[in-house]
Parts: sequence; C-alpha cells; structure tokens
Amino acid sequence: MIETQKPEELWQKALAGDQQAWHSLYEIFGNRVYQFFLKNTRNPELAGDKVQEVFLRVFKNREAFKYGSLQTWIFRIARNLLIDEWRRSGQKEVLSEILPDVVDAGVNVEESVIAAIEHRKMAQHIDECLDYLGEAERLAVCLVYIAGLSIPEFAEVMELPLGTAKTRVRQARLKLDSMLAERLQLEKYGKNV
Amino acid sequence: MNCQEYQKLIAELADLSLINENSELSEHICGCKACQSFLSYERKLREGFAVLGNEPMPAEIARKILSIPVAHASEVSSAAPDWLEKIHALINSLPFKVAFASGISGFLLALALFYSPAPEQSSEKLKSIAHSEEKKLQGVNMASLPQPPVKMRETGDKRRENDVIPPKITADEIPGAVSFALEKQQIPAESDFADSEIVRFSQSEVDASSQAPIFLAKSEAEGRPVSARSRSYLRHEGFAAAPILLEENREAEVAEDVDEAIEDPRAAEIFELLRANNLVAEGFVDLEKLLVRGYISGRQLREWRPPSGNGWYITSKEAGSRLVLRKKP
Repeated sequence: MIETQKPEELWQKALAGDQQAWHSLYEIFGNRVYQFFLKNTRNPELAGDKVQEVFLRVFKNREAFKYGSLQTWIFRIARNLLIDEWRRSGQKEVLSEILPDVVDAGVNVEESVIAAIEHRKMAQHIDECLDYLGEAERLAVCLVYIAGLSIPEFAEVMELPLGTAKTRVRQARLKLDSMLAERLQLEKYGKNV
Repeated sequence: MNCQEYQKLIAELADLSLINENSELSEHICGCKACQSFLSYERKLREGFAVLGNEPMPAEIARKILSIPVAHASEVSSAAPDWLEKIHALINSLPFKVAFASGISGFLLALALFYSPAPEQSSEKLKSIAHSEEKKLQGVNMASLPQPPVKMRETGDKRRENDVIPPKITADEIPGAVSFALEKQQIPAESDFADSEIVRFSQSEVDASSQAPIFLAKSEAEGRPVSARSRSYLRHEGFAAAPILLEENREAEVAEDVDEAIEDPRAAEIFELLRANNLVAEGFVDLEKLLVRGYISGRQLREWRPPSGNGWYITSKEAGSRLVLRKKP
C-alpha cells in the first residue's frame, strides 16, 4: 500500500518518524542513485559512499524541501556531488555547454537482430557504450533513462533551459544509438561469419 | 511529420505505453516498418536501462542508508543543550581548575587556623609583659585610679571571713622602695669613688638605697668623712628622695623629725600594718600603692595621708626598736 503513495507523501511520513516510509523511499531511489554514481565513476566503493552521502544530506536538510519533486531534489544533490567529485579528481572539462553535433543517422538495425537480443545482453551493451560517452552525455542518459527523470525534471536537475535539456538528451541518445547499432550489427556479423 | 520526427517523439516519451494516447503516432507506427523497428529497439533499450537501474547496491550501503533516521534521532537525544556544554567546557578549563583548587586550599587553611590552639607564650615573654605593665603602673597617678571593690582588712590579728588576703610582698617589693631603686647603668665606675663603702652601698639595690640617708647620717655623726663626689652621687636621681640628709644642719633636723614622728600617732598604726603584712618598714611608704594593692582602705588612706604628698618615709632609729615617720619631701 505504501508503494502506491507518491514519494512526497512517503517523505512526510518519514519525517514524522515512519521508518517504513523511509525504507520505501530507499527502495524507490536507492538503486537508481547508486547506479547513477556507479555508471559515472565506475568505482563501486565511491558510488556507495556517494549514495550514502546523498541520503544523509537529504535527511539532514529535510527542512529545505518544502514543495516540488522529491525525485528532482534528490538527483540534484546527487548531480552536485558527482560534479564535485569530478572536479576533485581533475576532470575540469565536465559539463561543457556546447556539445558536438550528432547526425541523426537513424537506427539501422534489422528487426530480427533486435528481436533476438536479450534484455540482459542489451543492458551489457548499453553499459559498455556509456564509457564512450562524454560526461554531459552520460549524465543525460543516466538521469533520463536510468534514473527515470522526465525531460523537464532533467532540465531542472541540470539547471538548464528545457530546450537545451531536450537537445542534450537527444544528442546523447543519438550517440548512444549509433554505438549500440554498431555493436548489434557487429554481433550479427560475428555470428554470420 | 516524417519518420525521424516520429522516432524522436517516441524517444522522448517517458513511458512507451503513452503511444496509444497519441492516435496519429500510433497510426503511423502501424503503417511504417522503420518506425515499428525503431519502437522495438526502443523497448529493448528501455528494458536494458531498467536492468541497469535495478542492479542492487551493496548490502552494507543499504543498511547504512536505512539507519540514517535512527542514528540521527539518537544523536539528537544524546546531544546536550548548549548551556550544559558551556558549563562542561568551563569546568574542564584550566583556569577554573586552578581557581577551584585555590579556593579549597584557602578554605581548609582557614579551618585549620580557626581550630588550631593558641600558641603558648613563653615565660620570658610573660615576664616582659608584666614588667612593662608594672612600669606603666608606676607612671600612673594613683589618686586617679578607682578604689578596688574589696573590703580592706582591719589592722590587728582579727580577720573577717570576707576579707581578701593580700599577696605577700618581699622586701624588694616594698611600696615606695621602687622610687629609690638605682639602676645599674647609672652607677659610676668603682674607681670614681674615694669611699669604697659608698660604692658597695650604691651597688646594692632597694634595701641599700633606702638606707642611704641613714648611712650618710651615721657617717657624719660618727665623724667619718664623706667625699663631695660621694655626696654628689647620692644626690643622684635615685637618691633625690633624701635631700634632708645632705643638708648642712642634718643632725638637728633628724632629731627634730624624729620627735615629730614619735609624736605622730599614725606612725605606730602604719608600722603595725606593715609588720602584720610582713612588709619591711623602711623607706618611703606610698599609701596610694598600699590602697591599690589592698593593704589599706580608703578611710585609712584619708586618715594616714600627710598634708602634702602621697606617703611617709619610715626609717629606724639607732637602737632599731623605734621608728621614725617622716613626710616625703
């Protein structure tokens, strides 16, 4: 019954001392925030520390959340922590505003190839392709497709205009599609060969 | 709308089930092989992202996240108020410890001083205090002192039960004899005297000083010479009480004084009082001192007091059995 409630309602219960509500919030956001950090750092230990820090900050600064989307608030904290970590590790050129244009070549993958691939294998391909994306593209993909944010929520988290946010997601997605198409075709050709 | 725009629209959908709500999009997908292929790809892609998003985090991290509210609540409950923390910090500070230790030490020291016995005064110190008090007493005008509230003892052997027995006084403590005491530092060297007898006499103390007039009278009566230097010495401060003995016509005056003394009925009473109290009846008798020391009453003082002065000068006659009572000059 608790799972059907909105995150904001669970949040109010958790603040009132409802441990079960807090547990439900963790089930909703825990793995998503962890994967967000894990895909962007490739360091499980660091990702664990960061997700823990996110929930700690959320709880300690609970008075700061008055209204809006709890999901947006949580991922904004996660995004800020990630950028701080990147800057600390020497990655200065993160989140550049201007991304290279990506030609929409379409997904030229045969229907049979797509139908034959398992979702776990697809997840593996996606995971491998993420490493070839830039930080901004990876952030967009992770926030929208892994964390499940909508484009407006992504724009709010990244503090970008909605149009810019759409363009960034689109470009990241085209690049990812291109790499996935190659991998899938390569897998087909490899089988044929 | 072309296929590229439809595919872009599909990719931007948060939930692919929303396609059915867009009739135009759904109709296009039904009639377009490429868009159907793209929709299949999109579904596989989202399933792949779902798999990635559902990969569990380490259990240790999950446990820590779930315990955040409980841990924070215990921290809040165990946290002391600010004022209590300030007091705790103050107690732990070094200045407070030093001040507290000093206060305790001072308090204990004050207790020790308060309950400690008074230091015993040495007998020498007591003697010096008594001596200084006695000197002060000598300088006091006795007439101004209040009369002691004791009943004076009657002369004679009869004693009342309520009478106060006065202390025994030796010859050295005879009242009036102090007036003639010769201090040792005032004694000239022995070589300054031609008459060695006078030197021996002068070096004796109270009794001898009281006998100085007698000695001079005797010496001159017997025709023994007394040097001028000895006479001058005997005129010294300590012997100034006997100026009559140093006069030219001393013998006649003494005889006259003796007669006056014998005729004075008070002489016998005074002598009887002194003898009864074992006091030496020679030298100047200070009646006020006798009053202060409780030997005589106020009435006796008034009756025995000479017309001028505070007392009488008592000396023995040649036979030693009778007394001469003289006024002190």
